[in-house]
Amino acid sequence: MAIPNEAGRKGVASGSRRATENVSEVGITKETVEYVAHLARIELKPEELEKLSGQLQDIINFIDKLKKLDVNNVNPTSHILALENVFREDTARESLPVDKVLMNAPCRKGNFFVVPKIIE
Amino acid sequence: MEGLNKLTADELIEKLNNKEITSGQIVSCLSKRIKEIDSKVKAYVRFEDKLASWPVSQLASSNDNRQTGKPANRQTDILRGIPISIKDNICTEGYDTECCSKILEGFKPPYDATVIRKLKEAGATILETKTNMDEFAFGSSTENSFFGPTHNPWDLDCVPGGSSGGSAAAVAADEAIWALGSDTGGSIRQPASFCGVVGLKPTYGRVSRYGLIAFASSLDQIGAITKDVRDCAFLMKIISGYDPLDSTSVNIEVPDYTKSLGMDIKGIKIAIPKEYFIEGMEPEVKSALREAIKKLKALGCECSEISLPHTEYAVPVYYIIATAEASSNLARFDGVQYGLRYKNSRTCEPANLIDMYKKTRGEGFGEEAKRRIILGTFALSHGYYDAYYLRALKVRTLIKQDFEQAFLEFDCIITPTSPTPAFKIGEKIEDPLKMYLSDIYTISVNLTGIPGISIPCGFTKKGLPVGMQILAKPFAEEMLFRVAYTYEQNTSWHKMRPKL
Repeated sequence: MAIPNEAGRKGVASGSRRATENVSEVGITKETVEYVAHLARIELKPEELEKLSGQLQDIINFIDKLKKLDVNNVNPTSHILALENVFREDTARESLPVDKVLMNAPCRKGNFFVVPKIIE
Repeated sequence: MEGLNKLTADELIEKLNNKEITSGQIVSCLSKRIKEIDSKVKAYVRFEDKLASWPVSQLASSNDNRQTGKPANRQTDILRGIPISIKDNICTEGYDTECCSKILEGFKPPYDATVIRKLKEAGATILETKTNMDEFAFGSSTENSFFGPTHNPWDLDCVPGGSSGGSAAAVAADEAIWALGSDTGGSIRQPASFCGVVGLKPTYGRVSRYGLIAFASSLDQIGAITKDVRDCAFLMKIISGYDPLDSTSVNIEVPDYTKSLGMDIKGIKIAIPKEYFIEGMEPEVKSALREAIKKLKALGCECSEISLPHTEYAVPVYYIIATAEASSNLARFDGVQYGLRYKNSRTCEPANLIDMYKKTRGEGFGEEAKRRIILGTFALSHGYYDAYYLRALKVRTLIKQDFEQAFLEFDCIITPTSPTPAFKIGEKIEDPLKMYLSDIYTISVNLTGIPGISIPCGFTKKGLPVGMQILAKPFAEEMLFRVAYTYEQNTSWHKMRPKL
């Protein structure tokens, strides 16, 4: 079984992991990480960016082993149960009182959450 | 009354029914134990603020439950006020629930999770102080908590496992009678095995996720962490069941799991997957499992080796699907409605909306959270969605088929819970991939939605617990309890306690 015996990964219990045999053709540069962080709306410090790029490259290298499999005739499983279209009756019912909804608001005015201007 | 914290819930209920003790006395014993050792174990979080009033506030809440509570509460009172400890990602109305993250600092949920409501209706006392966890359940060691790591009661230099490390450590150290945890990739079972206690992840859809702060919606489940299999069966019966507030919960009746305890296991067919007994695993774990299998054979089970050929793909599949789902679920932490909102130290306000999102999330999320969100966002992004996310969903089908095939012929599958016993604090934290690989035996269980239990099956020479994992097909928790209980009652692992 490949996972613990990959080159450079002597065993799950021990072993250094610097030299992974598998190198992805997908290169994770600092620019990639910066772009994705922007999509995820997370601000990264320069040292975080540096560290993350290296780690994510290692993880992508490892994940790329999935490319070895033939999945042409396989259906994706996005939901493990045989449930479909779970609906409820379209009738109004009791919901959270406004005060409870707002009780954790970082900034509140009346019945509103206050946020920075969205539309100039 | 001394030492009530050392007993199981079942033993305590008997004493409560015989009016030998009161639930207040149980809470007092717990409080004493926590004050005595939690500075070393750190199973609980935000405990210091509560020290002065604890456990009085707990007594008060359980009294209210009895005398002045709404009629909807306390329907059966089978639990008679027994306290239960709750992981920090399960919503308890009015009590801080922060997922051990800075971004949810001070969050007091305006509603109870369904499992909490069910426990209150059964008469439980919900402990206000929550148990420690990896932030947002991202981790296998509880080292990613905003509050720092929990220490394994069997060896304080070691991790308790994760992400439900606080719950597992509290139960092992008799700082809790029993506890709830959550499991997305092994987060109940692995810490249960590292701490020498029982941990069960039910079939996906068995327990409502309403009120569980979501990590990966197709993988998460709430489950029980207990001192023995009887307590586990009992607790699972209380928290399981269909919930209209969780559209992924399944409308199948919940059996009385305690009726499975003590059933004969002669002739039960057990599969041992060869891919789970690999070169890299710790030899003492391997030998403990071999002994456990011998024991099961002696008790009448038929054990055979099988193959689960796609095992090696489980970890990569998981780290695409789980992180992709997490990136979506954690988008809600944006500083708008709850938790941390970034404040510019000069102007006291964020400059604009994007700034508010980016700086709040940049400041509020820990390293592992950022890593996972970014990995997940990447896997879903334009140009990579097919190669990563969609492909992972297809390989998930292949993994599911391996298990379906096995369950056609076998009643359950047995594996080690973890390839190693508890590792040292700091040992794996700098190497995310190494940490991810420690989930190798637990992860497929979430990907396929089947139930799994970890029970103690031995110790290493250094005195660290080893756990055995038993798996069954969907909604066959009764099979798990049946096999686990008989094994447990024919061994003494569950009676051992750390010297703390």
